Amino acid sequence: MSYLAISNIQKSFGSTIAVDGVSLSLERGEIVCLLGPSGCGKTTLLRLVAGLESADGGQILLDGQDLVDVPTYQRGIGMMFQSYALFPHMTVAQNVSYGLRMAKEPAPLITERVAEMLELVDMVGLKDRKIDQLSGGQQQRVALARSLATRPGVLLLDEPLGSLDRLLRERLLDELRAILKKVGVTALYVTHDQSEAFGIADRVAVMNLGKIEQINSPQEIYIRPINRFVANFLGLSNVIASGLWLEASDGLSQLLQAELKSGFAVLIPPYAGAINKQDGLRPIDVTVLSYSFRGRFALLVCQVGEHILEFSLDPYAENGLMGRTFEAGQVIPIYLNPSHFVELQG
Amino acid sequence: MRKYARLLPLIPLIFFGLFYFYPLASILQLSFAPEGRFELDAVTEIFRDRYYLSTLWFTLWQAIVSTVLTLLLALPAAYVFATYDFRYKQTLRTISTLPFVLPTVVVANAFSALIGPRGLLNGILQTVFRLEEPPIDLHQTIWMILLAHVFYNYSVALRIVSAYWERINQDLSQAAETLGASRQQRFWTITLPLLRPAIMAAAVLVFIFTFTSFGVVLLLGGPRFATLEVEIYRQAVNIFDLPVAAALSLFQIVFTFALMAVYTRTQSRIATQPSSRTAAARPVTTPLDRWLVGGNLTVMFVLLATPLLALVLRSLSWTGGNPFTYYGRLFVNERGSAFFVPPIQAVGNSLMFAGMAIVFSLVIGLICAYLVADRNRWLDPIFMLPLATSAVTLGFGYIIALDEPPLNLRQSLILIPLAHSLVAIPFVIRTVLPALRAIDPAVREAAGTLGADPQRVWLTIDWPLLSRVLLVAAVFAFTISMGEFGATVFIARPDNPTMPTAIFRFLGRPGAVNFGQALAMSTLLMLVCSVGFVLIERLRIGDNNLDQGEF
Repeated sequence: MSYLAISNIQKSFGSTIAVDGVSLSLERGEIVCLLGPSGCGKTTLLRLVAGLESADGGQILLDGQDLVDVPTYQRGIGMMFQSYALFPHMTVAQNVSYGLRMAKEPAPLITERVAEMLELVDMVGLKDRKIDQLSGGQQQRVALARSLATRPGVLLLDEPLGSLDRLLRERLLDELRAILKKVGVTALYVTHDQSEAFGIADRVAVMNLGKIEQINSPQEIYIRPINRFVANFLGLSNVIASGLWLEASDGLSQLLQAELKSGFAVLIPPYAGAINKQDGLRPIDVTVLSYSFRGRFALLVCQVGEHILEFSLDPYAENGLMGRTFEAGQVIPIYLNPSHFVELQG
Repeated sequence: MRKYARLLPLIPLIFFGLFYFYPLASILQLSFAPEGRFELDAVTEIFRDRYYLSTLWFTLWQAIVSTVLTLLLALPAAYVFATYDFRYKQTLRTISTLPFVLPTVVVANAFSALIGPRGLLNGILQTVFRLEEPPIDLHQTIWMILLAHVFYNYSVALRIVSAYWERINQDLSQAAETLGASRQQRFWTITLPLLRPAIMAAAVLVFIFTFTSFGVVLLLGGPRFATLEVEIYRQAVNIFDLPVAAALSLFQIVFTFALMAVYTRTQSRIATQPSSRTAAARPVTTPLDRWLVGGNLTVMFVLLATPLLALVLRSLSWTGGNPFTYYGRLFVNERGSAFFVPPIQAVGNSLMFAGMAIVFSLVIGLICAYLVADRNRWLDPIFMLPLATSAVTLGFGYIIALDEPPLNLRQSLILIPLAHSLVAIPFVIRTVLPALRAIDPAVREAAGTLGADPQRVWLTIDWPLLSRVLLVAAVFAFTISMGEFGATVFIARPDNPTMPTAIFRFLGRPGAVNFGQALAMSTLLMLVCSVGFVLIERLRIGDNNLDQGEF
């Protein structure tokens, strides 16, 4: 039996269905990320687990115990807020000890636990600081220490890196995952940022319109998105609807007709194309719309028949793109790897 | 033209020098050197004489009691306004601030009209129970004073605390909840400590207002009660002991400056509250909710609305005949009355003085605002000084400083609008400054690059962008001038009464007719100020910048 089992949970605000019968299970120590655009219900789902919203229907079991009628403050969960929600009238240590004080733990134990937590997040020297004397990254650490101090069964994280700048976010992401794994806490993490989700999670659940579209490991989700929404949300844009390639006679449609058995929509991932001829790759002629060097890759936007395709080409491959440019209107061959093609359901 | 523009800053500097610092310096001189050489007699007498010490003590404790009472009533209301969503909430909150623009004489009379010996409540009780004597005898008791003070300051405390309460980040309370804190624990460990700066700011402000209370105590307290302000007035006008009045004024100046410094500090702490995710107000559902909201709205109604209603009702004549008898009497110049002119002329005088005060305070306040906005932040607290100076001190300073050469304006009517302008200027600056700061300098520079000379830039950029706030400032100046009592009572001459001083003089005379006329005049004044209030609120709608402009 899973440690945290959410089944068929339901929540509406007025006529808006925020969470539409979601079921989700987390194993002990697992980090699962809810990924989706704003308004997809991911934060509501998190707040339902926290008890900050009350469910219209469904069940939440934590270690076998039903949480639905348990008030938030008795659930024994930890939560990190996007704003951190650090108490501005308390010091770092007072923030971290707050949950322990509410639980009326004995003072020596509190002192010990606070020290332990501050060491965990590498904030040892700063325990008497006021919150407004901390940098954004330091506040994030205090918020983490505070939410872990009570040894919660589940840690809920609501875009905890959302208000940090990009560089700091990347650095803290690895650190955060390392700490969560070290503590061994079961974590549910909400974000709209794909790279953040992939960086932190064991499994990613992509959400849309109150439902989970797909849940799997980052790698599986990326190379085998289940439908057009997931593909598009992950930035995989070359989706060709079924009606558009079954009948058409351009090079790409002919290739697809030859390679695929079903008549579903198909995703041609941007990494499926190369500029050099290789064994097993299938050439098609494309008309260049634009070409630009982007550092780690080069972006080619081109047209075949009615289809517009984007490819991220490897500029560093041998005999490849270095020093070359393409003009709009130029017709060039692109070599496609059909084994990367993904058939989508809807 | 450019050359003259550079001289503009001289206008506020000269104005403040002549009509603020010079009168205050005269008070200093009179306290320490009444005969031209230095002596401490007047100042030390205050400490030696039990009477003055008890005045000081009374001023202090009535301010403390008023503040505590105000907070006790206003804090539950602040909770209700910050937490619940109910019909007409915004309208009620807006209307509740009406007392703030009402002149003290009006408020004093409103309470007399409600619970005074000739008041509405006693009238009703006497009729119903056929009593000979009025059953409620609060006349000239401390309760009248305290009630009027709570009336005045209830909305001040309500507004400051509820606005702050609403903006407290909802995440904080929820974070505490996830950490195991129950509802009660959350209130005591999170909400209340976070509210403390707002409660402090409200308390200090209410304390300042009640510590410097003049009109309310003078009109409602009778001879038994005197705050420092009232005592200054009595010493100067009734007893004519100017050195003692000056020494008392000196105390008042020191006290109010210190209090204002404290307030500025607490206020700056609540102004820096970060905007954050705030709680959605919740609907009224449970019986407890209904009891809380209903109870607080009832308190609000009884406290704020009934005195004003009573004022209007008691200003009418109920003995048969023309109900507007008292209003009609205002047009008659009676022999042996308090005036040498028909009392209605006070309305004309007030309007004239208010018109002049608008012009003075707008011109000077606008220049001040430009100076402050233009890298002269340090001037800001200096321009705010009139706010920290009691009107009585100011009026007293005027009569001792400006009645002799080199500057003898005692006989000139200009002294009244000048005093009113000085009181209004801080409000004008506070209203204009946010709008002025909101003008992106690049917009002016763009106009310059498009060929506009400095005057044209001002006319085509600044003026249109500021015209609305200037209108708000003008209405502020108008209501302040119409209701100003503390300074005016010193400097207005008997044949040139303003509305508040006319009301005061009616009250000094016996008889139902004089009382009725006082109430009639008060009602008129209340209506005028209410119109001003509505105008201000109307003009400010949708202009968030101005919301913090008040203090």
